[in-house]
Amino acid sequence: MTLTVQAASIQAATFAVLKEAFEAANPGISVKIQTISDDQKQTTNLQVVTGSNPPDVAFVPTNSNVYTSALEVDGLLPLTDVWENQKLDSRYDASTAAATKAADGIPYVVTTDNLLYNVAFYNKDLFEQADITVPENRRIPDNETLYEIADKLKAIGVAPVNFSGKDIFAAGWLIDGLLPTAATPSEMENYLTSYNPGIEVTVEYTDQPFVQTIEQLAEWAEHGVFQDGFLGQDLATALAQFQQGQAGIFIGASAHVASLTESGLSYDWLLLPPVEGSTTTVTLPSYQGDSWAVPAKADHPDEAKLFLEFMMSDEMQVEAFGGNDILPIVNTVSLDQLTELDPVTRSLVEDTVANGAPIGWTSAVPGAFGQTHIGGQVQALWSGQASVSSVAEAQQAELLKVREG
Amino acid sequence: MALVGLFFVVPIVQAVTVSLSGWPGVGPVEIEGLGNYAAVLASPEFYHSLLRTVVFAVVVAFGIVSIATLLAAAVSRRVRGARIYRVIWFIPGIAPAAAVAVYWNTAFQPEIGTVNAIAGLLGLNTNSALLASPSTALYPVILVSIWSGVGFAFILILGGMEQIPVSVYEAASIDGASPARQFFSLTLPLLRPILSITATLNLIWAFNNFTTVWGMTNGGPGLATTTLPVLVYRTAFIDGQFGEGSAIAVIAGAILLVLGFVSLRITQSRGVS
Repeated sequence: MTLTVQAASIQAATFAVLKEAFEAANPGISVKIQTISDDQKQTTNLQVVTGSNPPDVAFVPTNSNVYTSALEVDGLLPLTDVWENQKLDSRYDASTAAATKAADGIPYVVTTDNLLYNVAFYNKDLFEQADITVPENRRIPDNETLYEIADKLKAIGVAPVNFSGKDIFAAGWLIDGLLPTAATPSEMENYLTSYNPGIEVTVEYTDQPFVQTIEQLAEWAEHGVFQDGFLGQDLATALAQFQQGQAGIFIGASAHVASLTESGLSYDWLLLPPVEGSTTTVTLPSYQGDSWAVPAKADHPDEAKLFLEFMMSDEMQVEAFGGNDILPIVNTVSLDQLTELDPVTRSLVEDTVANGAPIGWTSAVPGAFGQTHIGGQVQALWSGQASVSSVAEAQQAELLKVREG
Repeated sequence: MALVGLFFVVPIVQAVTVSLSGWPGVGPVEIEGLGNYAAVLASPEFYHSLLRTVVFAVVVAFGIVSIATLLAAAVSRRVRGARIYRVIWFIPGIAPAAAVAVYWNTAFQPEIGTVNAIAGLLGLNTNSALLASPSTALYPVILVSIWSGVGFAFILILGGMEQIPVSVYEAASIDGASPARQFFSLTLPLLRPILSITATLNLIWAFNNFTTVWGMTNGGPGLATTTLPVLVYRTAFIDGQFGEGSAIAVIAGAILLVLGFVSLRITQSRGVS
């Protein structure tokens, strides 16, 4: 029999390992990997997952409309048995376990890895050429220093900060880095959960923390921090330009480490500054929404669950995920076990141990409310079609709409 | 009749049904009324998008037909290399639209794009970022849509030109008509039926063009290149509001039907006269 498994394109290497190992461990079962794009996983995959011929294992990010809509029509099988067999309640951190379960407390997905994003990878050679000193704590302290770095990079003829402004999710990455530096912990908690009508709204999107965050984004663009034409450039192009030494900094994620290292570039990472005047330490936002489910109409649900259990085993978390510079999510795998981890990825993890890596705002709230809605709004802001206040008001209006269902 | 039902009536009925519901993309469709239409017609985004779509479609259709006619006239007149041009000008028409969009998105990038590289060779600014500005982002999309649409129109029009009897041109030459006069007074009037159907088809295709626009700009920056098909996609698949997305699609379909009908009526009546 053939088991059809969906995979994100960026995790192709991980799934190649999983396929080979699973087939070796389960003679008679052949695995067919079905790669889906970043666009599909948030949009048209809903019709695939809930249709009459779904894959056996579906890629269903928990912050996507696909997940929430599929749950509404009982389109996913409960995975309580998979969670029990793999002891996921204890192998996930408590907050991850809670966030991964549906509102009724039943798990319908397993989440496999931890992605750290909004990482400002920088080209060491270009920094040296431009006489830029990297702060010891890897954190650009303020806007003034950021503008100075951007000016120095432009002076040597390269783009300053390469950023995929064309992609709808991109603005959300920057917001996820900035918002925790503008909001208090309790305000942040409310921003992460207030889309749920059962939670009282104690801080609005028209209030200072969110407004200050959007103001910061507007100011960075005005000061020419990003590359020319960034609103027309997607992630692949922005990354390629950085890999070719045409940009000093690239805003990416831990999942980009493998391809950056492979390109032979001499690089390291740092973090963009907090909102103006904030003394809060900037942290790496984390995303724990890469999740897999078994569609209710899957042809081989038992084998699909077997595959999910296999994915979540410590062995595969180390080999398939850690071995491809994707961070395992279970707490039964220690950093020492990840011997194949790239030193850059290792340093990212070490930073999260020291400073924490709270879940990002766009990673926690539903995609249509967070990622895609704010992405379009901020694009409009950057291109002069919206103001800071109109973006904030639009987000608050969207909150009320989501809460009304 | 069964085919008409299968390919026209069923999809239209389904689209209208969904447009009257709050369908989230899965599950049964429950009709709720005309709320989606009211929301769409009250939305400034819809009108901006409609205006953008009409401008885009008219400019692209006009550009395609004009250029294709000139190219066909040149080939028909047996300019040097006509046989090769016949193939070369058709090639963009057979390239996959998604690949075309991805290539041209890269080509228009500042510094690294082919367009800017050529501009540099001509001593012009190599740093223009047409796709990144709301005031210019639609121009490259229009250019690329014309570039990729010319090939098919060229073949149609060339076929029409080659049906015109040579004796007509010989008689005109004897009467002293210059090549330009022959083109405007003979070729174009005799080609009117083909030109009108080509223009109408291209108007419809441009109005419905999703792949090129989405591939090059994602409808951005902001909403600067969000044509109606892109707005339908964003509303239905990104925002998960399939009812409202279908309402936009139904309204757009009705507008297109009227535009196509008017276009055909105008060209047919001129053809008869």
